[in-house]
Amino acid sequence: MNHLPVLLVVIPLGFAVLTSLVALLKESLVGLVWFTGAVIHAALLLVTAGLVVTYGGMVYAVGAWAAPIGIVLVVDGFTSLFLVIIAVGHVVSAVFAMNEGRAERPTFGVLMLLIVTALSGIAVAGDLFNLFVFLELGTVSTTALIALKRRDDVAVRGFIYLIYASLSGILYLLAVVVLYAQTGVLTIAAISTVVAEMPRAAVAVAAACFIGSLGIKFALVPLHLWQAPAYQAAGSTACAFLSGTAMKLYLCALLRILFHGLRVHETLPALFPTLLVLGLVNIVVGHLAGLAEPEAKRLLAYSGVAHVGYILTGVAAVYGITVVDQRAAVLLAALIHILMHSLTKTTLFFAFRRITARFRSSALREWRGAARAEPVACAALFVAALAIVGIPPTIGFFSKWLIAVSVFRAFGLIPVLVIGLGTIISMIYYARVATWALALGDAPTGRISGRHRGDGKTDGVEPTRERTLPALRFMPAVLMGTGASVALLLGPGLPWVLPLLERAALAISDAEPYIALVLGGG
Amino acid sequence: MSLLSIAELTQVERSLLVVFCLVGAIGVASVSRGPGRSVTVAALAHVVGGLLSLFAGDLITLLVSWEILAISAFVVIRAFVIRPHSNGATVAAVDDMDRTSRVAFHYLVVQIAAAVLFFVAIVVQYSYQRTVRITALVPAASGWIIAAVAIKTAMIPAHGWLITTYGAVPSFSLVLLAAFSTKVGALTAARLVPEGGYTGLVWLAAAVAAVAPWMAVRQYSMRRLLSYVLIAQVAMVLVGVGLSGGDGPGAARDLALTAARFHTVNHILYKTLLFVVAAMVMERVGHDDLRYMGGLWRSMPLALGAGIVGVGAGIGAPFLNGFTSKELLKHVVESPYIGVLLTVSTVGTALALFRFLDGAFFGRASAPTADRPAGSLWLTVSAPLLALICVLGGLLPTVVSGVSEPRVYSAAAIRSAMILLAAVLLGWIGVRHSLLAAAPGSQWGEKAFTGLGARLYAAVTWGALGVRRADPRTLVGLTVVLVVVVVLALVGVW
Repeated sequence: MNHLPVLLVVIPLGFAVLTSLVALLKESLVGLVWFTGAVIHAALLLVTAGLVVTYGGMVYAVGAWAAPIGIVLVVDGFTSLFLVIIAVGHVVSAVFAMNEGRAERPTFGVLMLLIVTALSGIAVAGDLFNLFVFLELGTVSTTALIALKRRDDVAVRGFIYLIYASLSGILYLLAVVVLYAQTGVLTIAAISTVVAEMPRAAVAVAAACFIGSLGIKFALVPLHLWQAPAYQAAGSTACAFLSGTAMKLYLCALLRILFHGLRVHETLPALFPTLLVLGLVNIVVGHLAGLAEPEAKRLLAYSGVAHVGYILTGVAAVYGITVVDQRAAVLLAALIHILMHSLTKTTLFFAFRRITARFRSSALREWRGAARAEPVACAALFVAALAIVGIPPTIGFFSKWLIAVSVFRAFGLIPVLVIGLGTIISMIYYARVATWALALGDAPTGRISGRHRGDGKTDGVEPTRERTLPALRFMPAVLMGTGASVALLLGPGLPWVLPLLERAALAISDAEPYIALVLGGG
Repeated sequence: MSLLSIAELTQVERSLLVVFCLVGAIGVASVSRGPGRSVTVAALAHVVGGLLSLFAGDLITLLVSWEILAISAFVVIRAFVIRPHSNGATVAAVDDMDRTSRVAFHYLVVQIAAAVLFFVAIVVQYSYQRTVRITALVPAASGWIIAAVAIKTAMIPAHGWLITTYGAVPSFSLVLLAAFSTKVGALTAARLVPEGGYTGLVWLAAAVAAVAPWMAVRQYSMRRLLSYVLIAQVAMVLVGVGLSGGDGPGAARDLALTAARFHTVNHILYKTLLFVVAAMVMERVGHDDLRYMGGLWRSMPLALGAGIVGVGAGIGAPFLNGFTSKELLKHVVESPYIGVLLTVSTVGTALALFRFLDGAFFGRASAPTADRPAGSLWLTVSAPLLALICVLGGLLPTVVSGVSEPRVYSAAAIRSAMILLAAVLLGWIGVRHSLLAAAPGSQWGEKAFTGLGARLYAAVTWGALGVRRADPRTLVGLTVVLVVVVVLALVGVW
């Protein structure tokens, strides 16, 4: 069990190689190998998270070189939450992709395994340079996932993301250069011990560069412009994973660097009002763009932009708190929101994918009668939408409520009003989807022809054509149903997952245990 | 934070519970007659939402009840086709939705906006009190509650949603919809009274109570007329709520709240009765335009009798339930100005309801000759049942309210009410010919918010479409600007 942290990175990487070798021999086995890898890796992730929650953190020194010199991989209470998110997101995506017929493309499975490698690495990396390596691995695999479909402008959108991500890399390295010049170390825990003596301006520049760099990855306004076109281009499964899982890991990295590495709550309290403004801008811009959006996946992309704003607002609410426990209580709200968004956004992408496949169109206004044509997908869509809008008693309400209460303590009424405004706007655009889905329109009943139905008239309904829907419907329905019901029931059932979340919040809100874990234990 | 806690109920609240159950049953039965059978579930959920708002022992449960009401009403409205009406669709045009969708969509958005204001209020309340239990409101929260309740109870000028929805939905779903939403808004305000009382709510509500009936008089659509009367009655409830928690002694405060709840009980009963009568009439004649009705007294004596009881209760005729709670409210009111406003309201309500009754049953048009269905069983049963309850409530006010104030129901009060109503009746008989023929169909203020909303929506759409292009050339600039701004913010503040 001593080698668990490194296995978390090595296993998916190994399966990625294995999958590409199998693809050369027998393409039909690719899905199976990918799925096996996903399950094994998820089991490892969950076991690790369980062990950490039970026995405390683990440190793995690669090559047995101790911390300040060698490379360390760290799993603590904060990491364990994200390990669970990766595990669930990966397995669910694999099941969904296999049932939606996406797994036949060998590259998709390989890329998913690669991005999971990168995300696991981001979660466990204990020093800034390894974090950078995994971020870059994530960039490469994300670009390929975006540009995977062979359509006209898809490559352009992947390329745009690549440019954005390179800029993100440059900013990251800039921050690393500043920190390395000041401290002479790259291990996050080692930086944390000396960051108090650094000039404040250096900390500020490093923090700003990290925010800009990772902000590009998780779509911080105005660096979100790559996201909607990229999601439109990418497949729905890839989108669900990128938005539901990958985006959370970039937030994880940012929180780790800010709270553990730079100890911003002590060295740079002015960061939190700044984060608040960024978060509120994200909420407003994301929701307004979503309001104007007629296309399904772009809508969800903008909704994701807005929810990054909620999470940042929740983080900003620790402003002025000096007691660790109180800080943990505030950060808990942001972490619940992360969990909520991961759950609901994945469900929404899956549901949208089903309806898009049925209607052969991702234009929302063409989904007339979707509720009758795809009842399970629509039910899941409605429940998940209620949760993500934050209607009680879903989990979304509780995270929104906790964020609003804590941000009211720190910054007064205006952020609460912005959160309320966001609720109204998001209710408008999801109600619009619901209205079209419930419309007594001409739902296509049988197999759908390959043609796009331009004006919503019945020309597309022709009994059987060669391009049919995938036969396996059962598992996606189960997945969507589970996602929606968990989102609904986790509101009242929040105490069940609270131990994990509270431990994560406590771990991120104080740097000392982390330093003791990495440097003290050796 | 407990998710669901149950409040203790006083006697008048228990009466509310009974009335909610009764009216809810009538409403669900009424809705389930419609073409969509699955909508019964939503109708039941609507009733559950209303009941939950009575039981709710904490703020979050109360918010849940608001949301349940909004979403279930959305489904109920959505389920039945709304035909275009000559009286103008005033809902903001949203893309290419049909009329039913637009009405439902508009309703939902307004209700969610009210719920969000309520959310803001309870965030503020929780932040000061550190509990979600229902306690006296802090002053910082009361403004938000007033705003939320003003939308939920359709106080003018936020009444557009109610008129466009209630004026458009089929009569059988209107019986259900009109029963809960606004009343729950007013009752929520009654649950959450601030320490020093609401400031300004009395005057807002009294002004609305005085103005709304006169807008009702100008309607020729039955549903819209009754909707305006409903607004006036709910405003009267809010007058009672606004009077509670003032400087007066505790007993007077409690009496004001009891009066408000008592009026809610009576209002739900006779308003549902009126909507049931309207539904019977609409079923008979096939439209709801008072200008082209009349002569129904011959063929629908039951509806006429029930309508007379309903109208009598609505205008506060003695020995009917509306009188008892109105007198209790007047007893609570101390300011003479508010008393005058309430009298203006009574006169206007009387005129509007006379117009309704006179136009439908005795109006200029002759009775329809076409053989239409004679009305369904549930209508024929529920109308006399509700009428009977209205009479009993008028005769036994203490049973419902738990308040025995002999002074309130004195001979002098009965006499003055009789004189006022008789005067209005005489006045109505004098002007009925000209008023029944006139058809101004006032829509004042109904478009104020929806028009603004449509324009805002268009502007936002235009603006957001403009920034959708992911141009890599602007990226470097944006990134640099962001980082510099963040650095400046960080360096500048400390």
